[in-house]
Amino acid sequence: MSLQAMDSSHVALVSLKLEVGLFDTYRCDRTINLGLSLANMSKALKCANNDDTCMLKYEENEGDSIVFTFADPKRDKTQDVTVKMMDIDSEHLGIPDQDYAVVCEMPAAEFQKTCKDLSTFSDSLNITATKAGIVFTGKGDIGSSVVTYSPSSSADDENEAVTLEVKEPVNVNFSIKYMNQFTKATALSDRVRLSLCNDVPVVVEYPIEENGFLRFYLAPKIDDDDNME
Amino acid sequence: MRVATKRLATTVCNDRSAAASPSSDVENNADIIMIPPTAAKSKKLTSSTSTTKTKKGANTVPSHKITEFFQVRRSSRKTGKKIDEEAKDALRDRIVNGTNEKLLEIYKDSVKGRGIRTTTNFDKGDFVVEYRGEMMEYSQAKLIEQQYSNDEDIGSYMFFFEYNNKKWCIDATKESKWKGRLINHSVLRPNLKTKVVEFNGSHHLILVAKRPIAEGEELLYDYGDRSAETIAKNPWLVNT
Repeated sequence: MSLQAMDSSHVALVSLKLEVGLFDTYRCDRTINLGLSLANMSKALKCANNDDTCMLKYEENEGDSIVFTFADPKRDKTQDVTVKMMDIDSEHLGIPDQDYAVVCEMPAAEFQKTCKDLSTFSDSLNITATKAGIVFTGKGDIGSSVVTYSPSSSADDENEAVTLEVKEPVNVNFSIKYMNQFTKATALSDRVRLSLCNDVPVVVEYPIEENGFLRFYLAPKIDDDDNME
Repeated sequence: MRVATKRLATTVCNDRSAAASPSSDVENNADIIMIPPTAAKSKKLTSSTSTTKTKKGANTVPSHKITEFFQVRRSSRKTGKKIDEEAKDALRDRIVNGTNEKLLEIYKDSVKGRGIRTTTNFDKGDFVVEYRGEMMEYSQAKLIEQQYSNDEDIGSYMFFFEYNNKKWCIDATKESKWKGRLINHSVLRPNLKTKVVEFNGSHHLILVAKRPIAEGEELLYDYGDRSAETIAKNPWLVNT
C-alpha cells in the first residue's frame, strides 16, 4: 500500500510504502487510487487507541468512502469510522528514478537533533557533502550552527555509524522548517537515509521493515541566481 | 503549509501506533491538498525579492516547488475500451485527412497501366488507403454505370459493396488525387483487403494490409467481381 501527499504550497512531498507482509490481512483485487483529505484521514485515525488494530476497507460498489475499522480485542470492541473520499487525480506525482550524487545514512535521532539545533539559528539548512564528510550549516543573524560528520568507519555499533557515499560533491539549501517536520518520523526507524543531488529535491527516507519506507521529498531553495532572472 | 507537513508526519506516526504523540497544532483545520498554491507562492515571491535585494541572506528565500521536479502523473493505464476508442479516432483522422496518400506512389506498367506502389512498410492489419470517391446507393450507382457503359473510354472505377445489409457503391470514375482508385487487382497474391469503417454515421471503404507489406511492393487487392459476364470480359479477374 502506498500513500502520497503534498503540502499545500507544494514544496514537500511524502511517500509512504507499506509492504503487504506488514499487514495481518491484505487483499487488493486490482491497483486502485483512493483520494482522501489528510485532514479527514487524521480525524479518523485519531479515533484509534494505541493498541487497536486498524483495518482499511474500500468496496468499489459502496460509494465514495473508506471505512477505518478500529478493533480492541481486549474489550471486544470495534469502531467503524467512515471517511468520504475526494478527487485528487491531479495531485499524483510521478517520481522519476534518480541517481543521487550523495547518499548519507545516520541514526535518525542524530539527524533530528542536528536539524533542531540548526533551526534555532536559521530558517535555512545548507548541506555540503564531499568525500571528506558532510556538513550541515544553519547561519542566521544571531549566530550559526555547523555540524560536521566525517564518515566513521571505526564506529562500533552499526546503528550509530554515519555512512557516506559520495559520487560528486553537493551543496544544497533547504528550508529547515520542513526538515523538522520530517524528523517527526524518527520514531519509526533507527536510521535515516539522505539522498542528495545538486538542484533536485532531497530524499529523507525512513525505512519501515524490509522493503517499506516513509520518504520525504523536499524541493531545494531558490538560488539567488534564479531570483535575479 | 507548516500545519500540513506536521500533520503528515503525525498522521503516519499515529497510524503505526508509534510513540509520537499528536502535537497540538494538528487541531488547526486547514484543508491540506486543495489550497491553490498560487496565492501562497506569489506572496512569498514578492516578499523575498525585496529581502534578497537588501542582502538579508538566504534565510528568507523561498523554496522551489516539488512539482517543478516531479510531474503530475496522468495514469498511463487505459481500459480496453479507451484504447479501442483512441485507435478508432486515430484511424478516422488518417482517413479523413488522407495522410497515407503521400506514402504511396503511382507507377506505370506496360500491361496493366497505372498501379500503386508503397514507399513505406506496412504491418499486417495497418490501414493503407481509402478507396475514395462518391459514395452512393446501389440503385443510383446502377443508373450511372449504365451511362458509363456507353462510353468505351471510361474505365471501371465503381466499387460495389454491401454494408449493414445494404448495397452501396463508391464511384471513383472521376480523376482525383486519391490513389485508392488506382490500385490493381489480384486474386492470387493480394496484399490488401477491403474493410468498411463507420465514423459519425458516414462510412468509408478502406484497404488494410492483409500481410506485412515491404517498401516498393505494388499494392493489390481482390476486386471480388466473379459474375460470369464480367469474367468473360475481363479474364484477368481470375488469373492474376
